[in-house]
Amino acid sequence: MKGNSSYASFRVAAKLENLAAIRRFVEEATTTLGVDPTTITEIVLAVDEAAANIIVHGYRGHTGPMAIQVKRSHDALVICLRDKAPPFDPTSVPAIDLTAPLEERVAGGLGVHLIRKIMHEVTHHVTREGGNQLILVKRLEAKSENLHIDNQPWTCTA
Amino acid sequence: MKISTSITNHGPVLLKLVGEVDAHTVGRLDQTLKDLVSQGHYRLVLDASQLEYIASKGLRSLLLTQREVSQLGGEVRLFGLTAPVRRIFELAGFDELLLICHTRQEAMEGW
Repeated sequence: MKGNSSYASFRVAAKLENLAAIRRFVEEATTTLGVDPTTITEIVLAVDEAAANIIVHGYRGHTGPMAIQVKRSHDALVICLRDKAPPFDPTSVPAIDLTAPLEERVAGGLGVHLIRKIMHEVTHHVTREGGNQLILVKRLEAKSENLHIDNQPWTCTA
Repeated sequence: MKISTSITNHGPVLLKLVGEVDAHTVGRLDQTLKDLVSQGHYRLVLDASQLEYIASKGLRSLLLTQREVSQLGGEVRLFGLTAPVRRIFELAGFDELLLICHTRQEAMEGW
């Protein structure tokens, strides 16, 4: 992990056995950025689910690089996940209906549902190299009326 | 992630989950639960007091087990949830799908 007071970045091989290290990185970065413990739990879960999706649905059994950047921007936390897997857009996964019968809920899609529920913004782009960039934004002061997510000048270079 | 299992003659099976259940470690939980159900154990009590994390794959495993054992007159019950795990259950709506007991005694009794 490298970083300063405003951002932290982590590069890791996209393997399921590295999910624990990814969670430790996100815990450490968000703690350093002054995020409260309950929100840290939520963000760690969202990033873990996103990373697991990249490994399972993106790389599909092959190994490749994955990079994660965590940045605090005013009253929001911005997390960027980049990989070189074939394009896979988790935002295209249909939402699951939590009022649906048990059988439908266990069919899958719970991870993406949790990411959407935790994060205020989930954006997917195909990178110039043909990989994926997933930006997750969590507002840290949901009641703020003057929310300003300053992620434009910040280029995710993870 | 570690799982220890206590099987008694008449009571429910007690499983203690220690550590983190994620997409990498969920196979162990899946296999343990499947083995117990295939051996005829349908009353399953999970001690989650040392469970530090559970991802959607782990929740799915618990829900599939609950679905199976409920059709066989059993149930999956949990107790001792840590604050982070409780929050994950709430986010997923699983606090209303699985029986979460306040104490070990409450989970072990009244079947």
